[in-house]
Parts: sequence; structure tokens; C-alpha cells
Amino acid sequence: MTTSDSEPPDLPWPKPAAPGPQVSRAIREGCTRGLGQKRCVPASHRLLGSLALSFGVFCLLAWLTRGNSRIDGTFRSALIGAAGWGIVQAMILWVGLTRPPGRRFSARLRLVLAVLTPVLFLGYVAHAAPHWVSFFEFSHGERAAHAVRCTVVGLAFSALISGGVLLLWRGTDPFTPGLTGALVGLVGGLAGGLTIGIACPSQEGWHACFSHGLGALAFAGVGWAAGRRLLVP
Amino acid sequence: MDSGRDIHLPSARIEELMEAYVDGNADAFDELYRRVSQNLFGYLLRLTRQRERAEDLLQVTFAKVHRARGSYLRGAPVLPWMLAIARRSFLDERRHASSRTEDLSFDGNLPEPKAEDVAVPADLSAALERALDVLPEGYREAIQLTKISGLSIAEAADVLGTTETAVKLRVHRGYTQLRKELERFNRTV
Repeated sequence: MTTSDSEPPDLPWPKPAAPGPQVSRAIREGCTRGLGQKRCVPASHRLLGSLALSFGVFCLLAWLTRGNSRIDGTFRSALIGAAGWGIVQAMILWVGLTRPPGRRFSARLRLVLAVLTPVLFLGYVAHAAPHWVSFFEFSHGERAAHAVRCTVVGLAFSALISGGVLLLWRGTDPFTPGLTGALVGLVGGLAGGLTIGIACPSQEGWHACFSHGLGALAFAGVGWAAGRRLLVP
Repeated sequence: MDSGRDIHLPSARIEELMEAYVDGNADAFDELYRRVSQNLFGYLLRLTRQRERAEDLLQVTFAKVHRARGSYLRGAPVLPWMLAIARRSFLDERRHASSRTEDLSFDGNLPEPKAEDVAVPADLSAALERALDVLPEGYREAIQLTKISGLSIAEAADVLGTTETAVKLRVHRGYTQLRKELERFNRTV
């Protein structure tokens, strides 16, 4: 179906009406009074700032927790995994934010990215876990307390990164603020998950899924809501 | 005042005018306003169907544009960008209004002002204007943006926050209803 299929021919479409002269005068005065050059940060700078924030927080926590006891070899493999997911984060930011709004990749592609990436990340975290205990064991006693502590720290780092990136892009997208916010939240959630994955000595499967992996999914949702408020001009 | 780089205003694209305005060029704003205000006002008038409300919303829209000019990402299409801001201003205003004491319709929206039941329109132009006014809001918006404001289907989809297919569908259904209204007019005259 095309729009012209059923278009009534040669319709005298009305010309847009003009606002009153007083209104126009008031708007002109309001918008030009004391008008100076506004510093307009280009998208490429905002993108670099977003990546630097994510990478900086990751490095800071990795450095602070470098003395934590870990199973031999897991720290190195976690770093390699984090580097891979760092590339994914950069790609998400590039697809979701670099082009100006109105010229971005299709909303459908970005939606697929926002939904599929956290699911894949969760799958990766589960797959990378070297051992699993029973769910009962995981959800009781010291393991449960450790999981809660890890979740809180991971969410705090995700919030720090997502909030920082949202502020960097504040007011830039009147078209799809929810979707853009979801991608920003996803980047923060991934960074938080990877950061806590490096800092936490536990490699147990349930723990990795709940405390390290679920944050990405949760923050995609949080980003959706936050983006609708913060990214709209 | 630093007016940024020099541009030839009458021949500049509105994106260039916006960039010059961001750089502090007041003349560029005047030209920009001259080029886009009728489109924005026409759209708001079509949404509100009340001149005073549309004028208030136009002022709100430009106040937001002025405040947000620093976050305008260069290269973004200006008219859809401003229309999206205008639409959000309208939706915000309607949400605030509905939380006050007005009577709501069954679906929770403000009752739409009824098209006045006046005499038969004098000509096709007036009949079309009336037919547009009785269209459901979604169809009316889609037709306004694509046929009167001159946006492409993709740009209209961006402004409405929906897909291109949905915009095509709304325009198609809008046309179907318009045709019925205009046939009624043709039978009457």
C-alpha cells in the first residue's frame, strides 16, 4: 500500500495559518534577547566522553580490587571478556547515538539491540561460569548475602555510568528518547556487570547471572524510563 | 555578540539557520522563525483546534527550542525536530489539563471540541478544512504532517514516535474518511 493509492486527487490542502503578530514579537524577543554563542558539544565528543566514563569506572574498580583472591586464570579471562563486551558497548553507542536524531538507524534495529544484547550478555555470563551450586545453596546463608552485596555494588556502578552518559546526551533526542535511554541504560548495565565481574572473586553460575548479568537487563528498562524524562529537549 | 560564521540568510537551509542561531546569530533566528513558524502553528492549531491554545503552545515550543539549542546535534533535520518538541509540549499540556478538573471522556482523554454544526461549507476548501477537523486525532496528525507540513513519511514517523508503516496506514485511513466526508459535501451542493 502506498499513501497515494487512495489519495483524493487535487485537494486544496489548507495553507498553514500564521500566528498573531504579538505572539511572533514575544517569541522573537524571548529567543534573541542577550543571544550569545551557545557551546554545542558535537556527537563525537559526547560519544568519546561516554566511552571514557564507562572505561574509567571499569579501570578504577579493577585497580581497587586487584588484591582480591581469585581462582587462577579467571581474572585474565574476565579481562578478555570485558574487552570484547567493551567493543559491543562502543557499537551500541555508535548505532544508538552518534548520528543526529532523525538520521539514526531504524528504531526497529535499535529495539532489537536493546532487547537482544542483555539476553546475550546473560547467556555469556552463565556460559562463562566454571561451576554451579544448587539454587537452594545459592539463595541461603553467606552466598545469598554475598550476592546481595555484589548486586548492590554492581547496580550502583551501573547507575553511575548510565546517569553520567544520560547527562552527556541530555536534551538531544525529541524523537525516540525512551529507546535511546534504553541503549544508554544498557551500556551502563553492561559496564556495571563487567566491572563487578572483575572485582568479585566468585565465579559461581547463579551468582554471576543474578549479581553480574541481570543488571544489564534491568538498566535497559530503567534507561527507557529515564531517557523519556532526560533526553527530551 | 558573536554571530558565528556568515551565511546568506535568504538562501540558507533551515539547518544552517539553526546552526547560525546556536552560534548566536539573531538574524538567523528571525529567518528561521519566518520559515518554520507557520508550519508549527498550523500543526498546533490542528491538534488543539483553538487559536489561543495553539499560540500559547507555540510560545512554549520556542522557549524549549531556545533553552535546548545547545543540545541540538548538528545535522539533525530542524523542522521535524521542532515539530516533535511542539507535539511533546501539546501532550504535556493535555496531560496537565486532564489531571485538573475537566470532564473526561470514557477513554480517559479530554473530550475533543466538537466541530461546529454550521451550514454547508461554501466551497471544497472549506469542506476539506471541516472534514480534517472531524478526523480522529491520529489520522489528522498524520495527514497534517505529510500533506500540509510537507514532511516525508519517515520524518512524520519520527515526529509521531511510530513506524513508517503506521504513518502510511493512518494516512490511508484518513484519506478514506476524508473521501466519505467530501462525497457527502458533493452530494449536498
